[in-house]
Amino acid sequence: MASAPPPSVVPLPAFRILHSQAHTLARLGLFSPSAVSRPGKSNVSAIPTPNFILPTSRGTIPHITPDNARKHVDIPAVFVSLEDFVDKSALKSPVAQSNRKIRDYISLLPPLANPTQQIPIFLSPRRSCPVPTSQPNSANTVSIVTNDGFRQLPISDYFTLVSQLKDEDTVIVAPVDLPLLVSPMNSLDATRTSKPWKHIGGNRVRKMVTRNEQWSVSTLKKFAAQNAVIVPLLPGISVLEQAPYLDSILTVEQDTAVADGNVHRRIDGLNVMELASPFIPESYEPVARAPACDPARDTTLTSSPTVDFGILPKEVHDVLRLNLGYQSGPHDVIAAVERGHDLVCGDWLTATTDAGIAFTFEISGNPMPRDGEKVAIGISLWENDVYAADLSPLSDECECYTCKHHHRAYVAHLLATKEMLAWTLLQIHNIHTVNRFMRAIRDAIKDDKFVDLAAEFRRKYIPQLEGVTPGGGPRVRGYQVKLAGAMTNKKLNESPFQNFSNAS
Amino acid sequence: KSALTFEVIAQCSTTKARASNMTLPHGLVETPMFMPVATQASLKGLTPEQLDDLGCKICLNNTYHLGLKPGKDVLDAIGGAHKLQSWSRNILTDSGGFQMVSLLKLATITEEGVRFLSPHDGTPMLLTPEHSIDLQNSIGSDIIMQLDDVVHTLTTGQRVEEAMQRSIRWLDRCIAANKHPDRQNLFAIIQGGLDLDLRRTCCIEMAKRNTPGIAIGGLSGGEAKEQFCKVVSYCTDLLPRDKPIYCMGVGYAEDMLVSVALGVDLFDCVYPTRTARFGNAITARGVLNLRNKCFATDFRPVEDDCTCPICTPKSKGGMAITRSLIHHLAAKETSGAHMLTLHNVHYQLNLMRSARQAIVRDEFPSFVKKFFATLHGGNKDKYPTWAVEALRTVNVDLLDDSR
Ligand SMILES: [Zn+2]
Ligand SMILES: [Zn+2]
Repeated sequence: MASAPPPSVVPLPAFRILHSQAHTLARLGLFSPSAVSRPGKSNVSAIPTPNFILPTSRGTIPHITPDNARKHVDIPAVFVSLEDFVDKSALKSPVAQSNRKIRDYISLLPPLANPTQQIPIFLSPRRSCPVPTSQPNSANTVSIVTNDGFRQLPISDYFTLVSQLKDEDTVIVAPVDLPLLVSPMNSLDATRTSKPWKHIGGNRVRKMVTRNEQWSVSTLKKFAAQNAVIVPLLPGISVLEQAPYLDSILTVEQDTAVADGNVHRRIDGLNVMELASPFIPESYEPVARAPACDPARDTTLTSSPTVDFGILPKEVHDVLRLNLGYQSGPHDVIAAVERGHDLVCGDWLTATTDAGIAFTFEISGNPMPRDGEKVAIGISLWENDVYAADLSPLSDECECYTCKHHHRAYVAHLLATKEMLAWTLLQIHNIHTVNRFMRAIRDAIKDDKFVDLAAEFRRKYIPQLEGVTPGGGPRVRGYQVKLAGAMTNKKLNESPFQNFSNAS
Repeated sequence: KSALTFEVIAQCSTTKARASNMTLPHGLVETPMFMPVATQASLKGLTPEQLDDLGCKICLNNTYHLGLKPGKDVLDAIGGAHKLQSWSRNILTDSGGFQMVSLLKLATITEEGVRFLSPHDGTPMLLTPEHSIDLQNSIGSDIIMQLDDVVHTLTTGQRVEEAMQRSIRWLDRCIAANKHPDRQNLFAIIQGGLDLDLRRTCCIEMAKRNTPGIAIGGLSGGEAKEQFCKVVSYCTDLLPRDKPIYCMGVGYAEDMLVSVALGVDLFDCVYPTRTARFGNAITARGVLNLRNKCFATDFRPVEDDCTCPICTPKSKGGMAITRSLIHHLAAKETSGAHMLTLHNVHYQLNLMRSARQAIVRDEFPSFVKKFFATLHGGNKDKYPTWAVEALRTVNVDLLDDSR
């Protein structure tokens, strides 16, 4: 259980930078949420960064039961949204009555390979890729989407629930006030061009700054003594405009009394909701290391959907940067890492699985195709005529459960027959592939080879999944599609019995 | 010469229940046994590994469905259904005929086979005993079923006898067509509707063919349970003692236990997996529909003391899933259905495992009594009459606690 740190021990920052990459803002780090409450303990959960966190849906890892999760996938961290759990009255919802930590309620189990290591949970009021609500937030409530419609979640209820549900490996994501129309679009469906940026008016900006300041400061005061806390960096607003907000969150004083008075503990991370793909194939140029705090660049954020950390106050340079914004695949992840993000959100991973695609990319390893033709980052196993009898693993040399035990032909068959196991096997493989990718990125940063590797990756792989109609396959994720209907309406395409008649 | 050995290891001294070891090309099957139905080479979201971990030694694939997808050519190219789904245990396939007749409206049956219009383009097609066996040979299942002439259970008159006689002739054609008798065991299917004389003729004729196993077909189609039991019991009396007896399409716990008492060894049913999708958990105390609002704040395991992967507490390596969580996920996240499928399949397999242990210890009658008492909360008024009567025919009186 989380308990107040003993006197004279100052809570540790959860995030440490281990190595900075020359030429880009990419950096190697370690995020240890439970280090905050257990300073000095070695056996704490830790996320090596850059890495990804996997959004859950209603608390589950989409398509995967907890036993398969602990046995067959290695998940650095999960994102859990409370809007998936509350109904009319947040404090009377089942999860609140359960008298359990959220980890136990959803049965998020530690990996079998490392049973003492809990998987960190990022606990947030809203999903990582939230559905826009019909009502705006108010000063004291966040507008959320629940199972039975739009609701206003009082910030105080959110805090009460978090206090009840968190454990020492929980990362508290502060509520964010964003204008209605602002919604990160990070799915395969989204076009890759920048979303048209709705300019936020001056009044709304002031309201946003004030609210986020209040909400973030409250979150820090309530939780930062025992848990890692992530507060938002406001998208689409210049650093000058949000300076009061940034100042406030940097000077929150903890109530935690220690021998020499109050402990100053800063935020552990920034939640950056970028609103467009940082990677536009035709014009992309890797970000060069920018001089910190260049005032000339200060206004660029006003209309920019992406964030340049070079212009932020240097006090927030060494906190975790969580990118909850737009990503649709590995090209965006590399671009985010190049610009100094530490954690990206894996909505795109599950979206790829939902689309019936198996990732085949690798950041290093198999050589460039000789003809210089770029190759796809994945294969669509919907192409039954191609893969129906293909007994090779989903991706060459992959060592995931799916690839060790099954083959393309089976997954293609399962997709063709809309059997739910298709998505289970794909998700296991895709999580494994992205884990390998993130590990390769970290190794490259450590060896100062990241710039070359990123460039090679861009030379080698087509950024979009070609031959795959985005959203073309059935999206079977959870309750978004009625699977039962899809199954009873299935078309019987061909009969083998005709062949027999002819043959005999 | 056949690829099946069958050894009765224990016989209940009161009822006709028995425990046997049936060895097939892909390993030992301990009977009585429930066989889960993986229609299209997948059991509703479970990996073959999860199914294996539940102790499942044999599952069903449906010939009709695998014939459509992935199709015979692909099955031949891959090398059969075991390879397709990476399942190292046994597989049983049906003939495809039942699905044909029940799924396709315009199927007609002639001596040649089942005639039907292609669901693809409406052209007339034909499924013969030879086609069925050919396809099952391509699937490579350990137990293959003969094509039989299926008539609806409640059919009466000349048609029932015709179907029974034709099923015998088709068995001969199936035996002749089986290319792999050394590794694929062809089971005969007893027909004859509810007419015991026809059933007698069929049992005698089919037994003469000396197939490795025998199924009782043409039941579970809406007949009264009393009649079902009468036919099953009649057939098990007539059939050879040294062959496994398989009752097709039976899977409710009460039906299975009574059938075990009447001498049946093998069962299959889609019910436990299908019902999981609708949020239903099968338990010793009856079925719980976990979508019901009252389970939203029920933080007990799906079934107390259940040893399935989802109910087992974390301290014992389980998932510690609550009814509340299943309610939270039901019909919204597929993994909720997967979890209930794990529980339900475990329930079925475990029920048969416990029955086997009771037979081996020769405590089967008290086991059955305890089962009914638990299921109905000790209220004998709730016991189904058909079960009470059927069990009386094998010397067990559910209503009498003294013996
Ligand atoms: Zn793989
Ligand atoms: Zn259970």
